[in-house]
Amino acid sequence: MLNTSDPGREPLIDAGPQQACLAVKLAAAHDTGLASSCVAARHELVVTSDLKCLSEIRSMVRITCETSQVADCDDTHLRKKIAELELALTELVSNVIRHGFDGKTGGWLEVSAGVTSDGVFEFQLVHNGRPFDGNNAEIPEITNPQDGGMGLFLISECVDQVSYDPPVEDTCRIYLTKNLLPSDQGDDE
Amino acid sequence: MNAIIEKCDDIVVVDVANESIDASNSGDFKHDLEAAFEDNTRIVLDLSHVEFVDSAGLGAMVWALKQLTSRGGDMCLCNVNGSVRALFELVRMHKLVSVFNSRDEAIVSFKE
Repeated sequence: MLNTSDPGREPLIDAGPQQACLAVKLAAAHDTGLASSCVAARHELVVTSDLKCLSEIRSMVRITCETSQVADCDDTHLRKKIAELELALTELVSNVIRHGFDGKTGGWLEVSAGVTSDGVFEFQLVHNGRPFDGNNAEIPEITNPQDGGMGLFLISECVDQVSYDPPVEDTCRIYLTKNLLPSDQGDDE
Repeated sequence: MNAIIEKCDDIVVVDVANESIDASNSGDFKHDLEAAFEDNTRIVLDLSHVEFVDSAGLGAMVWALKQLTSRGGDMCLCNVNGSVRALFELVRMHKLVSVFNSRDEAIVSFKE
């Protein structure tokens, strides 16, 4: 579980009141639901339920992947994977804010991301909004991209696995994983 | 949203200055597009500064295209970067709207 008040871990960034970001920090892997085999520093971010946080989420994803030191992962391949993750997580977070909070900015989201020693990007999102089931992604019609579940379709296309846990004590949890390694190293593409 | 609007004969070029078009700014983007095609029906959308587009950004572009075609106009895109182009291919956006490598090519396409 994230703990922004942990005195042993100073936030890297304390955003001002204009920003959606509440805190960013680096932390050890042992206190979240992410795999304990993360090789690089895991990144955590606490944001309000404001769509302005989307660019910060993308930055977090990019930094996490670029600093993961995944072996044998050439730049072009990694850039493609990062672009897919940025898209999937933008869609996921904006879905949570629009549907879980009805677009209201009073809620919070805690996100954490890391990369395991075998090159799997892991992402966890915890929020106090309404749960929604994103497992029924259908191929949307491009002429109605906002009405046809386009976001859920993009998430399903861009990551390997996504799971929506049932809410516990008004808290919802979503997990997402994606293999960052090229196909000859185990990628299933 | 920051968009620079230039006119080339009866063709309007909208140069999107933002790095991203996502759910946080797609409303402003639509507003800018609406202002650009108020008196014009042929629009070139230059995405050379845009590094990221999500489904909300796609929605805004499709909305603009529908608005224009309903008035007998058209819209095309140019200078689309690799990851945005990959998104277009994933959702088959390129079947809906023409995408050109440069602004000049896009303008010429309207004159042909």
